[in-house]
Amino acid sequence: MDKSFSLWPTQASKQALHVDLFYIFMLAVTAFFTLLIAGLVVFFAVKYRRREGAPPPEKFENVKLELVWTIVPLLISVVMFVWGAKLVVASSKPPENALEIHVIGKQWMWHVQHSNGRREINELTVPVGRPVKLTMQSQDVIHSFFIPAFRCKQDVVPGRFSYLWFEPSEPGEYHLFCAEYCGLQHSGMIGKVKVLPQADYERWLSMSPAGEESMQVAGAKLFSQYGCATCHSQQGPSMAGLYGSERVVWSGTPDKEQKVIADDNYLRESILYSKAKIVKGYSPALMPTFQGLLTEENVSQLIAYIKTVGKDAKLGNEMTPGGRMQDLLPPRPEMKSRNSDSEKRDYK
Amino acid sequence: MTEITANPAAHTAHEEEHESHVHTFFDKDQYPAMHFEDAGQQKESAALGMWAFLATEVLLFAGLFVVYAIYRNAYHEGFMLASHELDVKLGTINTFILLFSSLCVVFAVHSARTNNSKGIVFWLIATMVFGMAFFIVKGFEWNHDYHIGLVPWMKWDPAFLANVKMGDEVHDLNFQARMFMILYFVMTGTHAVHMIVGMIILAVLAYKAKKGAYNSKRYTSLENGGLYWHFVDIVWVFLVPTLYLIDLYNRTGGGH
Amino acid sequence: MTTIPVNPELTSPLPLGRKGPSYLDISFTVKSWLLTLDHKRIAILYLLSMTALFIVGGAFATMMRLELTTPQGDFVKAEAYNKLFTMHGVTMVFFFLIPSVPATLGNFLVPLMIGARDLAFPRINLASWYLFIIGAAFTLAAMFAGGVDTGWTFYTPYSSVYSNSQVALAVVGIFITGFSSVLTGLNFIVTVHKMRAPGMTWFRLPLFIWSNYAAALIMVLGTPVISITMVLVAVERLFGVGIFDPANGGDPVLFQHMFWFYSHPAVYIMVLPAFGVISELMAAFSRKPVFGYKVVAFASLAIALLSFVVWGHHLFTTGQSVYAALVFSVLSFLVGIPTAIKVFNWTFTMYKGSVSLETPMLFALGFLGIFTLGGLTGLFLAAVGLDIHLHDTYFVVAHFHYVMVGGVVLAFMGGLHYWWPKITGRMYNEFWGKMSAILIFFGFNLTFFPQFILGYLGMPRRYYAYASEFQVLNILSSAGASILASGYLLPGIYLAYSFVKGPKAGDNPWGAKGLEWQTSSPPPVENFKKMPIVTEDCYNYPLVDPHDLQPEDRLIDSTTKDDDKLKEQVKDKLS
Repeated sequence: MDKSFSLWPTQASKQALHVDLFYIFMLAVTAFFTLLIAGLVVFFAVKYRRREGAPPPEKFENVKLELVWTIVPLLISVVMFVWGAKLVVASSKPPENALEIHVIGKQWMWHVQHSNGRREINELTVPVGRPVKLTMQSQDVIHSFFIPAFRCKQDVVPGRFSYLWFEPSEPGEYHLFCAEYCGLQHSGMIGKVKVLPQADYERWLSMSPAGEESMQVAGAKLFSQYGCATCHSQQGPSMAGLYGSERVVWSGTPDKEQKVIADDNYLRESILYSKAKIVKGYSPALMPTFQGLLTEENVSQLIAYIKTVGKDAKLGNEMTPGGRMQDLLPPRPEMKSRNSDSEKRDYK
Repeated sequence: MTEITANPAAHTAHEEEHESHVHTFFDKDQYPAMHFEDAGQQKESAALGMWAFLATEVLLFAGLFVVYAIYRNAYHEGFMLASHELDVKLGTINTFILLFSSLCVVFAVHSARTNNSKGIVFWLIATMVFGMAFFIVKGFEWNHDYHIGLVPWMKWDPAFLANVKMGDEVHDLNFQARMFMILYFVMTGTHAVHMIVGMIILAVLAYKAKKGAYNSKRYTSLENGGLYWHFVDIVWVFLVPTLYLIDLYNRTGGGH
Repeated sequence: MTTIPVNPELTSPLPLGRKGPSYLDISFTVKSWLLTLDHKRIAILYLLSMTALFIVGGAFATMMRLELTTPQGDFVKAEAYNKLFTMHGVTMVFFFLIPSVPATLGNFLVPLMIGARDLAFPRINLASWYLFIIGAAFTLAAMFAGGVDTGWTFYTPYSSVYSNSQVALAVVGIFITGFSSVLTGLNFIVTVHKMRAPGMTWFRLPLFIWSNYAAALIMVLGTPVISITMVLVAVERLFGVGIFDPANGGDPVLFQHMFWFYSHPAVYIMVLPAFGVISELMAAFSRKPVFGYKVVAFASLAIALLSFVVWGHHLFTTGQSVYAALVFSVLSFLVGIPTAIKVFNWTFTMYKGSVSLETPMLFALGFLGIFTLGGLTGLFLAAVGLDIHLHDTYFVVAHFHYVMVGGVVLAFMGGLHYWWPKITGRMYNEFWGKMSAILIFFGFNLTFFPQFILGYLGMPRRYYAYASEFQVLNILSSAGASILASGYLLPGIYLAYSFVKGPKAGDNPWGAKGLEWQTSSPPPVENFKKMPIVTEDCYNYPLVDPHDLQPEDRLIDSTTKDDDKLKEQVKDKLS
């Protein structure tokens, strides 16, 4: 990833080149007209300034001039429209041989699944020089999958599939952003796109992700990988000295308090079904449920890590509980997509 | 198109100096008001203002109708099934009630034109009686909807989906029918709010008519109040086919 | 460049003005202000309340720029930042920009410019201010009760289901303020149609009236749609039913359509009256009619009508069909044409004129430069292929600040300075006025130009923490913001001073045309001593050296120099 200051974004996909060309054309037109108006304004303001001995003002009407600056902008607009439209029409259908990858957006992470089952969180690894087609879903609110280096973006709207395709042209690491405001940690919903040479990619895909790691280390990795630290240092309860301590929690409604001991079972429940028991004073809407994301093995690793967390971790800020009607209502039915595969909408 | 409004009174306005006065909200009305040249101008302004206001109201309901149309297109089946559950009889009765109330407003305005103050009051009260009747019928209907479990956020019991084949289908239709009922309550609710506002306006007009504020020369506000009431009626006339009469021929239950 | 004032005799008393108390002096009681039916006093009420809200919105913006000087969250954290940009957007859009020019300058000038004694419905006018205040109170209450964190666009399902903030309160506030906007628009439409003085034909109307009329059309036809949309969001939040919630079968993109159906025209509600101000300024300080008067007038109406059919360009990345995207794209380009025509016409108004660069004119020229760039960057976003990359990045932020701040606020300031002597009867300090214009111009460009570059680099909107390579440009932007803030604070000081202690300005200090300059400053309650009869076109500046002007040269004659046809018509009516 290029961390240095620059005025032009990296070009790393086939589309990027076309988009940049069009952008340069637009910049040229903009610069020309802005300077023209600014120049005329300054020139007229100086030349016709009110001063002793200046000629008196003259009436001035000129239909030809009017026509010129009606028709010229119109023609330029037509060129811009056609060019911009061509860009979209050309890229509206992904090629047949595109590599298919599934993406799920949720508050506040990107969850990627490759066709052979390999999963990634907040990372997307793709081969260079081959079109990639993403099929995306959102589990909660609208997100938007945005890779500036590829000049591509697609809103991920809940309740339907969204599609995006691109063809990386340069190996390297690039930014992945969520571009549609999606709540508290919107700015934390970022990741990396790794573009590997074809051979490396094949190797990467066939490699099993589990290495020789102790439970705690794997847990620590998961903890940072899933962005747990983002909340569990500021908005959420701190992990410091948590294991084995007594907690006051709400279950279901804010007026029902109970005391529990933070043991293995409690931790597992809190990770997988975060809404079940909420520590008093925190909002239930903050933590996503990780059910279906974490294997039981992952949960054990995380608990192993939490057990070892010392008392030096930062204490979090207190949060006021959110008062939402929805929290008092019965749980909502599991979301299901409203369009079956047979009637998938046209891409874009 | 030059419009010149001038008459002898206006002429003096050109020649003579106006006095400066402080004008505040609770001042007594002059007729014509200070800033108008003559009664004709005031009348035209009031009428144009009313029509422009009705245009905004049309847009307000248009927003709802657009939302309805889009979901109706997407959720065809569920909308029909839910619509079958509505009581067409009550809807029809209400339609006629409102149409008669509009007729009463017309008579009230006509009474003003013939300088019949008593007539204005009588017909306005008649209009309000019809309005109350509408609310009573509507109350019965909403109550009925509640009892058969058609209120999505209070009592939702879509028994009518029981004979649909089981599986995902029911799940989807349930959503669709819910959406219909939500829109039904939002649309009729918005309409009811407008009815309440209309009733208040009618009451004020009746009170003023009793004090003899309207005559054949001066009934603009009465006419404008009437226009508003007619508008509320027309909205209802559009709501009935939209909500009650879709798929009238295939109704199974409903209309008990 | 020294500017030589026009002939000082031009400030002598005018035939339509009156000796005696002005609208400001006629009564000093609280009741006479809070219950006033006088459009001029209501304009002042609006001016004061909107200035307060502008300061609130500006304070939020300042905090945001402070936070963005570093890539991490160190000044405020995520939660606070989200609330900051939401409240900044809501306050500035709904409570400052939309009513800015129409509710202050428009309320004050529409009757004066067309020769009427007041707006058609003075009581409704006062009611609209109260609705504005109640709406603002609700929104401020939402702010103090924990803030709102949805962004000013309130996108569902985040706003209707997931957000834990005071969305309902804020939405109610916006709903109420919507009515205030509708009533103002209604008043303008009826006033322009029915209250024009004899001889004030449509094509003698000042362009300020034309553009306010066009904006009023949008207010009346657009606002109810967002009102009902906000009602639906509130219903969904309070009753937990999903109108826009996909978990309940709703369609979140439908909300975006409904929202932008109003909110795109809304940017023209903001900018059209600002166009009107610029037209007046260019004519007055070039001492010439606006070049291509009729074209500029019709361009206003064209923009108003076209504004209703371009909302889809906010949804290019939502997965709408390619055909829909192309249609909205081509329509969006079409809106650019009348706008481009206007810019050229304003520029050529100076051609062969007699240009003096006083404070209002500096604001107007600053507007021309900034608005041109703002408008042209709009074309980037109208082109589908480019918008895919630029959507939801800082490029968009920069573009709409260029048109809304560089456009609307500069025009508003220019108009305020131009009509300040008319509103208060006093003059402000010319040196500080020029300083303010220059500071705002340069501070503004330094603040928002880097954001175009940031946007193309790919920095998304609404991030409180960003990638470190964006820091240089963000620091530039924050530095510019401090200059901009000082440019905004200056007028607050010298205008307040001028109101209390400024030198008497005279009735027509600029030697300007237009009915509003034919009465005394500040105007009497009923605006004109006698009803004016208009016999010539607006902007009919005499073609002489301004230094040789005689007092009678600048009058729209009110009964001495009638055109015969008009006299005939009046006679016919009288017989």
